[in-house]
Amino acid sequence: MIFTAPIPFEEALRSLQARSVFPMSGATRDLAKLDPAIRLRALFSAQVTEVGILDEIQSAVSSFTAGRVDQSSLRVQLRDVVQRSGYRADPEDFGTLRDLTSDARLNLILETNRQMAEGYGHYVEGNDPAILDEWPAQELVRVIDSKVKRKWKRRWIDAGGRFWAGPHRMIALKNDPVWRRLSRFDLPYAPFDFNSGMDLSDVDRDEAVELGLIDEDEQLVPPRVDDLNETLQASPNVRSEALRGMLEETGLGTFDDDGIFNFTAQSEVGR
Amino acid sequence: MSGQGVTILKDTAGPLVDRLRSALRLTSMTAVVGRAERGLFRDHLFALNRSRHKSGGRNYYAQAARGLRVATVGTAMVVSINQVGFAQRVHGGTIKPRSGRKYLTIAFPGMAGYGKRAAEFDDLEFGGAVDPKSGRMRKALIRRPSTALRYRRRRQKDGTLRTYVRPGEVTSREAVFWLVRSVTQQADRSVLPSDRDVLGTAEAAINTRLARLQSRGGDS
Repeated sequence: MIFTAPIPFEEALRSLQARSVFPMSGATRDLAKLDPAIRLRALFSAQVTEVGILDEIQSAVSSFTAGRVDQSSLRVQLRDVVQRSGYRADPEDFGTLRDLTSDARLNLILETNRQMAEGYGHYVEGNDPAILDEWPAQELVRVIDSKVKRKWKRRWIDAGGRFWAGPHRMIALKNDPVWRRLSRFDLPYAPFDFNSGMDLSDVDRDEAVELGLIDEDEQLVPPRVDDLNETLQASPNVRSEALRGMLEETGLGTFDDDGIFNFTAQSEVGR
Repeated sequence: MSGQGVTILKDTAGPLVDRLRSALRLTSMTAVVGRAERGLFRDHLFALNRSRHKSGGRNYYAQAARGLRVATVGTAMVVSINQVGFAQRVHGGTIKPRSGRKYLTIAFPGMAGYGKRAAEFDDLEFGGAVDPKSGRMRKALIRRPSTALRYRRRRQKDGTLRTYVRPGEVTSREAVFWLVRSVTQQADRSVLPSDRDVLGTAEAAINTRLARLQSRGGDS
């Protein structure tokens, strides 16, 4: 039987609800220095210091992830909000990722945030003991053909990964630290980078045993999942205050009077 | 007294534990079947993305694959694809403009409007253009030839900025969207795996799981 109303991806949507909006002055490189626990709980975008824009981004990403609104309509909506805020990109940056009204930047914001939420959802789902028992390993695979491909095999080796079943297959147990080390975001699930065409595919126990990754009866210790339920139980104000404290503790910057987190040793904008 | 108590506990706890074990096995079985189906649907959608988006675009089917979730409702399992327009592709049907609108805008791969909304352009006007596929005149939204100048600043190796000025990119009238009163899509069941594959995957997952549990002594 085919239903026509989708069932919301609750874990993914919950990960979006748990995020508090935080304007930050930093470039992508600065934001990457933040602890994953902060990045999982804060919604921000490089060089976006307007709370109104971030609120709109959060709402747009939720609608996109829930399958309520299409990407083009959300892009129009976001561009409108950004333009009404008085934002003007540097002429040098028109149409590039540094231009907040460009297709490239808006698509990146929508797609990355959606994929991160879905990645978290799949990760939580995949930690069910029966699922871990049947599929204890996973493989990094290309699912979307990209014009310019990153050197994932080199990155895999650098992250401490091993090739299995020949020189090409990037497989590891689900609780292997290689997944977190592989990620630009320091998170153990896809996406592992911006605009990435790579994703994860389950590897079943029979194959994992055959490859020598695990024994037939060996049980995998589930990887630690950053539990957002506790975060969600707090009111938005409490969540926001807690996150503010976490950001201040990083020592990477300070909040100004407008509530914007300014990085002290700031990288030059996105170059 | 205590003996009686123990007897009572034995009488009721046994079936209760059996029921609990059975429920746990069922829950774990549903989770396993769900995961197997998730793999089938994701592989199918990613393959569809490769075969249908050769000309680029926003990777619609890959987005659908990544957003796919499997939910258990009681002892049933539901695969849900949270992607706008997916049900329309499966079921087909006629799409008409929203009330107050006269036309739908359609763009094909290769056209400037592909993957975009008309609202994303500020230089469109109503007009007509020859459809290269049919050779016939069609109503369209046309991009006006641009007379604007394009400024671009580039940072030089020595750190200084140099400004380049070029004429606008649009030099001829170009159809960005075709305008149509309605569109009728045929139902396309092939965007989903076949029922046979869905059933086969469930059966294989159940058999593998049962065999594994039995090999470990039945309880896991």
